[in-house]
Amino acid sequence: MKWYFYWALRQLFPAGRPFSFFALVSILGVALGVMVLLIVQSVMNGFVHDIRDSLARTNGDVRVFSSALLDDWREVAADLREREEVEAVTPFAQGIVMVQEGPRPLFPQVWGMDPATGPEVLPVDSFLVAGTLGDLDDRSVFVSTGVANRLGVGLGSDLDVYTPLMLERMKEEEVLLPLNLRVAGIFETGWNEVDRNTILVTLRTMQELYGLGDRVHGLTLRLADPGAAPAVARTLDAELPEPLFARSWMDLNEDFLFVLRLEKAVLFFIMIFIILVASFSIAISLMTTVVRKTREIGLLGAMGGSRFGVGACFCLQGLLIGAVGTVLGVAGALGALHFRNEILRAFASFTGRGDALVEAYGFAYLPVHYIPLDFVLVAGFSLLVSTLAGLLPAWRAARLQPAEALRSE
Amino acid sequence: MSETDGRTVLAAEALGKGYPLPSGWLQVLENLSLRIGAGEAVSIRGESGSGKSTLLHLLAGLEEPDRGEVLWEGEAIGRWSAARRARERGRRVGMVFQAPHLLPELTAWENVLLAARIAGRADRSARDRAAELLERVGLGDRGRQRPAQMSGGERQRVAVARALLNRPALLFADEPTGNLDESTADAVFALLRQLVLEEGAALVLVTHSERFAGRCDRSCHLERGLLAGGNGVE
Repeated sequence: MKWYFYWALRQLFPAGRPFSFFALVSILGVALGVMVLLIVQSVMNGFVHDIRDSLARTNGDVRVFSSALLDDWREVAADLREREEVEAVTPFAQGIVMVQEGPRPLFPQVWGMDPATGPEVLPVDSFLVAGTLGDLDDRSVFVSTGVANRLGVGLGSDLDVYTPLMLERMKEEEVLLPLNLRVAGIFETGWNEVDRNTILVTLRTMQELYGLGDRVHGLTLRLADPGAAPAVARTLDAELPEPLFARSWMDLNEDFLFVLRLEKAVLFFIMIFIILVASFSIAISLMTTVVRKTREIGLLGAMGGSRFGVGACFCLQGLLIGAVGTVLGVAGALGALHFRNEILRAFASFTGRGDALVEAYGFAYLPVHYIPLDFVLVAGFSLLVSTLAGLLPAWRAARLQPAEALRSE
Repeated sequence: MSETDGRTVLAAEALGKGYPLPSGWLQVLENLSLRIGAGEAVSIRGESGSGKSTLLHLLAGLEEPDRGEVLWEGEAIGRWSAARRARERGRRVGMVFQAPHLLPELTAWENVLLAARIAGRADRSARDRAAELLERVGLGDRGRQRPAQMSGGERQRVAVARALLNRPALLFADEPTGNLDESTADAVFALLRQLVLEEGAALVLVTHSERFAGRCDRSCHLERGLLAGGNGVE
């Protein structure tokens, strides 16, 4: 082992003591910085992962749209099913209606789903919190929890549904009664925008409400590899004839996903200052060591230690502090994330404000999602700034002339 | 470069060294020459501020002279790069200072072995020799102790062992007993002298003490930058 590596190790782990005090403070600083950064990143990833999961589940992997109403959708669907990457295809139609229960009106989104093929593409069954999928027929409706709460309806309630088509016909002085649908199920997808204001009917009912005849607005696809959605959408978009075009669920929610990415990047940028502050602590403690040990540094020069060796010793100390701090920080983060819900419950129980968390933030548990690249980036950054923090003390130590250093008081 | 005979391990030729002062220039050493043979012990005495330590630093290659040159075993060290000079110093030279300058985070044995680590020779034989030298300075059972757990005299004995670990041809000692009480100083000097004799190293001893100077083979007196007494060059 090179002498400067040996001395760097022994300065951090001196004989007779597990740690030097300066090293301990610096290591704790780095460990805390790494730990907090990884916890925040992983919990943030958890929320983002949940949101993306909800988005993907409610949108389907890829949607094929038509700039006009789609007449020959059965042929198109059959062609799409032939493709190796496509697992299932279902038609869809969607729009906005007015629903009324008693005196309360609401203007929810309405989805028309083919009961035969829809569940193969969208996990509607898993969304249901009341009712069963088999209860959906042409005279019934599934409502989201938001709609159910706002209208105060439950299973078996009747809803009057009005559509824009009725307005058109009213202009022709036709009198049309609203379509009366029975609530057969209540669903929650986890995606707030959908859960707040959506109802689900059969495709035939939707075609009737919007006067579509046998036509639909498009097709929803489930892929063998959901991760390939953007690539498959690009391929389909290039291959499908006009007026058809394809978009992945990511394309359809591009703005929202961009905000999520931006939010994560900003959070990373802000939290990274914790590690930067820790690196200043390393620089200050190493600089103090250089001043305190001027004569010892002079002695090493007198004994044949090169300037490079003296400088390397302090750089290595920065690296070692960073390495130990990073390992402890990663271990601490993994531990805290593993017991996150126990910690959250203990905190809620200690403060007596468990309900406040749910009310204020809308969650009773912390989701987590581990992204190895985040760990690599944080660890790499921590090691880099810790090593850089050793540069200035190293430069100063290397510049010391042994004769002058030995004379210093 | 001047040629020296095979027995000369250290030579200084016409050394000059000065330092800038706010009020002008302080010439510390002037045209100073010195030769020391293998195994020879030479003391350098002088008043405080006479340039003894500066001379020692020049001879040890820790500072560069303004004029003249220093030769180790016939090689002019001023022609070497700083890195080579440091490397050669680690291999050929041992140094003992007024303060022991032991590294507090290392044990006594580790402090002794550090000289071999820096020279890149910390093998088994160096480890054995470090233990043997500690034994010879009377601290065979204290190798695992840290400097903070030792007395001043013990620390200085560890410093002597460290200086001799790499079997240097030259040992420079700058007031090695200056911080010790009289009896401890006597013991440490006797040990230093004996070990140097046993190891066959040349000793350059900077001291205020006439007593210790008298126990060297030659004694030089440094006065106004010159080696007085005709003892400079053999």
